[in-house]
Amino acid sequence: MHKSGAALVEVIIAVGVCALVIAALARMTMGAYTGTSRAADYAEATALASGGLEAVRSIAGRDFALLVNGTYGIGVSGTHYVFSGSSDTFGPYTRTVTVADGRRQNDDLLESGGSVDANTKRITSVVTWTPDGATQTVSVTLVSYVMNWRVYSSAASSLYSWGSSAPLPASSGASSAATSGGAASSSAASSAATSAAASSASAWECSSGASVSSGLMQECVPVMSSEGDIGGGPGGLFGGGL
Amino acid sequence: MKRINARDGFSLIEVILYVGLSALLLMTIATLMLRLKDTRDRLTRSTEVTQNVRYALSRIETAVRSASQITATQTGTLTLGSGSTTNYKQFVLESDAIMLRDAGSDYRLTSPAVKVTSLVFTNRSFPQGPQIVEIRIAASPVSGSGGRIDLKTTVSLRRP
Repeated sequence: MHKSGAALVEVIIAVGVCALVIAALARMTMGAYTGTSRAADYAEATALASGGLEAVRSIAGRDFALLVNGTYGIGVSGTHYVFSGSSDTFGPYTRTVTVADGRRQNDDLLESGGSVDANTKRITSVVTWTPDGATQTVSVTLVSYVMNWRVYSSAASSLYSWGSSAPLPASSGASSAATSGGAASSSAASSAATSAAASSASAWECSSGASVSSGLMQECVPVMSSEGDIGGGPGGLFGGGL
Repeated sequence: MKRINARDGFSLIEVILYVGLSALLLMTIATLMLRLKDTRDRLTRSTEVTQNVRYALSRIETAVRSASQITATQTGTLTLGSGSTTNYKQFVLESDAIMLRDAGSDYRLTSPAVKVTSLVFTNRSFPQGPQIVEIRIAASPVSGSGGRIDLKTTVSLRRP
């Protein structure tokens, strides 16, 4: 008869278990919210990273010879962009752009191997930051290629269309000669410069090398969507990884 | 009768314990729910602001890429030209919204729930280089806390 009611110990255990379950649920939910709320951070970081690629494109458009391999920050001199220091900051974000050799094999761009194309540079733009309440930094990495359009545009006029495959110098010897020629003619080509603005590279995108170190995003997404495309609803860009 | 009552029911101590413990439990759950709701509201506002700014930025980027010249930039206004037209499209900050001014008509690009606090265009073109414009957009929800976004990017013209 005495066993018909619940003993004190049983009640306490039951309440304890309930509390544990609730605490676990709360943690999970809060964690998911925190992850999603970082979507704004990613939007800001991706915009800044893509701005870095455009800035390099602008510097290359002025004079391709300015793209010396190395790691830089983007600064402003007068009214235009220049390489400055080894990184630059905007709010909580630190941006570094890296200029490296463009490598090709049979006209295809490669990350490694192949042979160096002196008229192509591989640009990596990395934005790093520490999210609120986090201890580890996260980063967004965008990769693009910039080509010496002065060399390419003299070879073919069809280049001006997007995504066309640019005719390439036959050998590295020929291309390096073309580079110096291109640099020397930079002032003479002023009228062409404004019109042919960096058109040689195909519409830029996040390459397969794009990554986010936190693992929240599976792959990088191009920042710009086509006209009228609002995206996949709230947090559409990053929701999939959570 | 008395014995049976004592065995079948709960003692006073037990009842007090039950009530006390369940009150604690309920209070914890209630607090948790309130916090979750608060977080969710903040997240909704943040998502709305982010989404709106991203959309407006994508429209600006598309327009810049298809323009043939940057006619004028100033705080809050970007004027783009195409061919012989010097005012092909214009983006302006008006009554806390980003507007697209196209052929005399204004199109609102951000929702009334979003307050665009700053829209700055800076022409970063080299005198003899590609045309390029730096864009900075700051926005926050019209009401409520959190959800502020401050974005800086650069777009260059693609069309010859």
